[in-house]
Amino acid sequence: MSTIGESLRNARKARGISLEQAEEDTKIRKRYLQALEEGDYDAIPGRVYAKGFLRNYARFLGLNEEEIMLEYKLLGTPARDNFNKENFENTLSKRKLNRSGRKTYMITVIVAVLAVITLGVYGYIFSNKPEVDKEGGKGPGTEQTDNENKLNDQNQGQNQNGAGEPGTEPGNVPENGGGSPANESPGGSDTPVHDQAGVKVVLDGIAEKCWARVTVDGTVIFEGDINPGDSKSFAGESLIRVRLGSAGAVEVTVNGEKVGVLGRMGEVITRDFTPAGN
Amino acid sequence: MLGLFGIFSKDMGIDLGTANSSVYMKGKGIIVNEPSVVAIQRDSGQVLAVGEEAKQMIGRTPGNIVAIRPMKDGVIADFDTTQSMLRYFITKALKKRPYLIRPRVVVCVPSGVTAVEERAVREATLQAGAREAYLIEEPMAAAIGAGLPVHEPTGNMIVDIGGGTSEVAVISLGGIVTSRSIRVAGDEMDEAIMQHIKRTYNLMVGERTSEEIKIQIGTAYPDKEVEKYEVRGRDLLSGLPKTVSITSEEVYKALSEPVSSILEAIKVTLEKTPPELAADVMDRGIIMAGGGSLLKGLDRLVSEETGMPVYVADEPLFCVAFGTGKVLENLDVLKKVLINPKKIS
Repeated sequence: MSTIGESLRNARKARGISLEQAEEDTKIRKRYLQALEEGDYDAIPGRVYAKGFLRNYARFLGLNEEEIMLEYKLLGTPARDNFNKENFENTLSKRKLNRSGRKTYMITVIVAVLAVITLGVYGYIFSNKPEVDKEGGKGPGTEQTDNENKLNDQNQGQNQNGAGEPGTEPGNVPENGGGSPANESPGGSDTPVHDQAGVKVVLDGIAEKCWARVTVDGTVIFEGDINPGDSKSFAGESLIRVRLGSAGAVEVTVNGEKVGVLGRMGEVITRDFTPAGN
Repeated sequence: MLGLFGIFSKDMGIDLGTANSSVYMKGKGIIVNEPSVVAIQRDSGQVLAVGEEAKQMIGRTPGNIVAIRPMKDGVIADFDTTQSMLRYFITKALKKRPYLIRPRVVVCVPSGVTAVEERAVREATLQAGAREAYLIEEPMAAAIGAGLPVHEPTGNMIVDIGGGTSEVAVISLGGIVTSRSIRVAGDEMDEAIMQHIKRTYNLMVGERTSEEIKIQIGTAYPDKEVEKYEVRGRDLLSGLPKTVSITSEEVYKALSEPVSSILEAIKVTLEKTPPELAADVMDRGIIMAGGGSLLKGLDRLVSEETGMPVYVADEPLFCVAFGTGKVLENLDVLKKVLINPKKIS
């Protein structure tokens, strides 16, 4: 079977050496020498030893050891019994493919994770800024929209009632002053139709002393402190302007409806209230 | 997170030898193989050259430059220099890329090192830029590199003759059963040749020349053919350069002393080996590795003296580096062959 084994045996016989003598001289066990000659490399414990035995034996027999070693290398490791070359190559290439696939997969995953992290960080940084702004104007902002919603509701109701007096609208605008004239003007114009005549504002001191100025229909009727527990109510026909030194310290009730605090503690705020609620 | 590091990390095994150091990079093979020499500017302590370049300078330096071999007898003799040498090797292996993720490094040490010497190697490796440093005993690395079945419950004997130390070990079940490490190896042989030439010819030759003689005509077993070699050196009497011709026979005699020390070490190790394993070794023989095993006739001599088959491993110079590389590639499996596999970082 093995050309190496045959050439070894031929070389040994040509020199007239017995296996026993070869064992004596090379110090390699007889059974291993036999295995070499028969090409039965499984009998030799490990490839390193097989190579070593082969090299020494070849040298002892005066053969070209490099040639023999090369031949042995070409021979490769002895094949297993149920070894199927095709199957092996298939699985090998598949595994190779898998491995490279796995690597790209891993890299993709890593890149994706990095991208998500980067986005997250950016998002966090940019979302922080507006949040600060919002906090500053949160109280009034939400309040205002609440009021506007209410206003709209009322407007709708009033429209159903048949508010056919657009002519008065322009006249009310200058009276309203600040705020949102477009929305407020219809409210003002609707005043007569509204069952509640005029506007009522109640200021309840809750947390601390608070300076306040209340202007009813253009005239200042109250200017001073509201202490916790104090309750002051004002009534007017079309507009009550309230200026508070510390918005968080006063609870406001407009037309019997609780609006709550208008801002934070220490915040100075000016608000207009009309019969429509704002 | 460690797994993530693993993809990018360039792990390497370093055979930090007395004479030559080689670096094995995972998946690439041996990428650096240079002499363990560092040239240093004496006044500023600045490192001028490392490796091959520095070796050229040995014995040829002006007063303010010293070319030193920081490793002596397999262990660190000069800590700072070893560290800069290691850094050079690691950087060279990484191709000067700034390493974001530092490599894991397996370094081998002689089997008989003290705890202090071991720690010095570990520290030097870490300071040279390793993320983790693992140590492995040289004979174990050599055995793995030579391809011995170290994990089997059978005795395998490995003789690793390096530059500074010779290691003899019997390995079974992934561990060293008996071992002996002597500080007689290639350097000692060079020294012996140098002394011989000095005594007989009154001629001074350098380390490089005597190493050259050893490689060219050195033999451990008396050969029928006598080779000659021209040696150039400085005559001690006249002080002038001179050329003499020495024969392999002379070199054989000069080398007999270090060689017999190595033989002695092999015999002592065999004496200490438990009988079962000794029988295995008897059966299979001895594998030799390391540059010293390339000495002509050494395998034959050992074989005759011990009565066992002896063979030199394939590429004996790189056995240790291959071994460290194999350990690296299967770090989880082979962890138990490492010394004290703890992580310092």
